Amino acid sequence: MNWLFLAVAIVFEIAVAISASRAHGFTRPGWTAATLLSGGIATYFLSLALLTFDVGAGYAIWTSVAGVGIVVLGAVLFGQSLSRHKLLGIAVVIIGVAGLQLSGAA
Amino acid sequence: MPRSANRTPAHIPHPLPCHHIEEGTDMSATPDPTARTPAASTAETPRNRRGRAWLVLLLAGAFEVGYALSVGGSEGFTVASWSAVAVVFFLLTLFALSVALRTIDVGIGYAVWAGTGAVGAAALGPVFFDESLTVAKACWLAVIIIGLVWLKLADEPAPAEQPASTT
Repeated sequence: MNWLFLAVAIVFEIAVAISASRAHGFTRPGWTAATLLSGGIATYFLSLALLTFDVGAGYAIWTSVAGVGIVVLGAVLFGQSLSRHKLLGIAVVIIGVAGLQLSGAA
Repeated sequence: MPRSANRTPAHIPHPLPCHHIEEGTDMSATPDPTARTPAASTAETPRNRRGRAWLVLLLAGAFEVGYALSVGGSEGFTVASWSAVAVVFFLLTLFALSVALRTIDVGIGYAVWAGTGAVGAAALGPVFFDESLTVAKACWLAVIIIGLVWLKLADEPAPAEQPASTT
């Protein structure tokens, strides 16, 4: 079950970023509600997943898969195709976050 | 003679400049007579707008750190005061993220938000909790910071977007 919880947490973390982008600084009520709701659901399911997961590994998978998913969806939904320079920067940050979380658990 | 009898105090300078700008007004549409530099009176440049969006994005990361630390302090949302603080930071971080993502691409915005949040939480965790900053953690923090600086430099608007007069 914990993999399922983690998957749900990842999907809603992606939803947080996409709906925060659409909420235009919380000026659109529907997208604002979607942002807050997704944030709550993502946090809740992550905490469920981390009850049995190794905390560092769980966080690392969560952030990195969500980060990749958000880049892909940003390109597909919003036409924000990023240059190789930017993709490299995103990769370095996400690898760093994942590494930090893995080393924190050790 | 009482001062109130003087109905036309033309000699008293108004405390504020007379061009009141409502909050949320598009500043670029209102010429500012007190502007001292030519750049301030021209329309907002893409560089200014992007720079401000990055500041808001870093602020979102700072709120994210506040959220992470207060969740830690709430001990699984059993301490009411820290739980309330956590909820406030939760709202602030998502609001700031949403403002920043009006300008910044969502993939970059998310990575920077998560990266600054992770750096801040790892750096401040030892201050507030029984955590230690190991050499391995410090190395990963350096990797994240290099990536963040790289992204900031890569996210400059293309030279064609900027008016030639500003530089």
